[in-house]
Amino acid sequence: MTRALLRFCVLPSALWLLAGCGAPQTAPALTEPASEPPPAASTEINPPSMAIHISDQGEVSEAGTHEAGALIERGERVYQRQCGACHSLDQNRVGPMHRGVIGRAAGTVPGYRYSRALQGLDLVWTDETLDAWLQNPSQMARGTAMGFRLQDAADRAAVIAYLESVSE
Amino acid sequence: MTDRDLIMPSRRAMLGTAGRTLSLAGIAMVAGACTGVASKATADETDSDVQILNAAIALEHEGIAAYQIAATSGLLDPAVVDIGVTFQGHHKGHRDALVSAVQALGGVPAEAESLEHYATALDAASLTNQADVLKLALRLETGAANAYLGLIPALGTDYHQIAARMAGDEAYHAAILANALGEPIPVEPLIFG
Ligand code: HEC
Repeated sequence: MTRALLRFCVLPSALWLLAGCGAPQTAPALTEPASEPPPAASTEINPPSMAIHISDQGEVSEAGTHEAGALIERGERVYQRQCGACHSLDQNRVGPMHRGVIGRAAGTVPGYRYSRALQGLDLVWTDETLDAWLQNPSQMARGTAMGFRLQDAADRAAVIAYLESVSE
Repeated sequence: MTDRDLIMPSRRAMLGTAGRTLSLAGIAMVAGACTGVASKATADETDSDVQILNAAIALEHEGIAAYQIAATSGLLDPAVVDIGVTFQGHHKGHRDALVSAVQALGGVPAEAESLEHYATALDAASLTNQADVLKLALRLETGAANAYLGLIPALGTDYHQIAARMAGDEAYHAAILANALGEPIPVEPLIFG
């Protein structure tokens, strides 16, 4: 019911987005009047991906393992590019090392000098706590030395999947 | 010399406004609301700013050391060493600007670790040729550009420009290094961040 409704709402807005993104810059030159080709192309691309996105929330589908592999790969790239200036899996650098971080208590990597804020943060790193942390570390631990925020939710999901894969 | 000329104006601008900027008041208030701890005014905010800026200083220390290790590795062509030393100069300029900001806030700037510490942290022993060194430098510079861009929302608005300028420098370095490695030009826009 809600799902169908969601799908109903998301689709048109996705189409609108497509038009909105693609059109202003490229349409005059490439798409010409934008009358016939867009519907065909967008119905092909959109319904499956949007539907999957919505119905898969929180559960693993049949295609789950394949998708998980792709997610971890993306997560590794995100990790290198977004976290790699400060973190490594096996070395304490600007920030603490990350291997095994999922399931570990915050502020407990040996040999790393944490801020008082992180020493006082009483929680275990899980998908959820990491997601909140990456959105805004200062909000979770005021006075933390990590100011960096990862704004893109899909990037956060990917990097968390990657950290999970190296925490097993 | 040139670096200095470029860095100084922004540093002066930073010092002039340091007292009333870099405030993370909004964040601190939200954090206070969440944890039930009353937001305790500027000392906490300043401490937070100092912590974040010190992490950036630590990042610059590591960058400076990385170029030092690279330049003395014997793995690089002399022309590449020259470029590396110039880039290292930029990182020293960044460090100096950040140190000034931390001092202006009444904080103690993060000290550099030993060269051996950085050599271990960066696994310098695994570098066997010039391409290895360039790849490491590219990885660090790309990460640094992204790190500064990701820091911007945590900093007060008066500091956004200096953080963005540093990200610009790192992105410039990354582009030169990627070109030296023969990497293709990214097709998609919004390459960093
Ligand atoms: C600008 C440098 C910087 C960047 C970029 C950065 N971090 Fe951090 N990170 C830190 C610092 C510094 C700390 C320690 C914070 C403290 O002590 O307050 C930290 C701490 C952490 C912690 C807590 C670890 C523990 O042992 O409790 C996690 C988890 C973390 N970072 C994840 C990430 C991820 C994932 C990314 C990339 C999406 C990232 N960080 C990007 C600097 C950074």
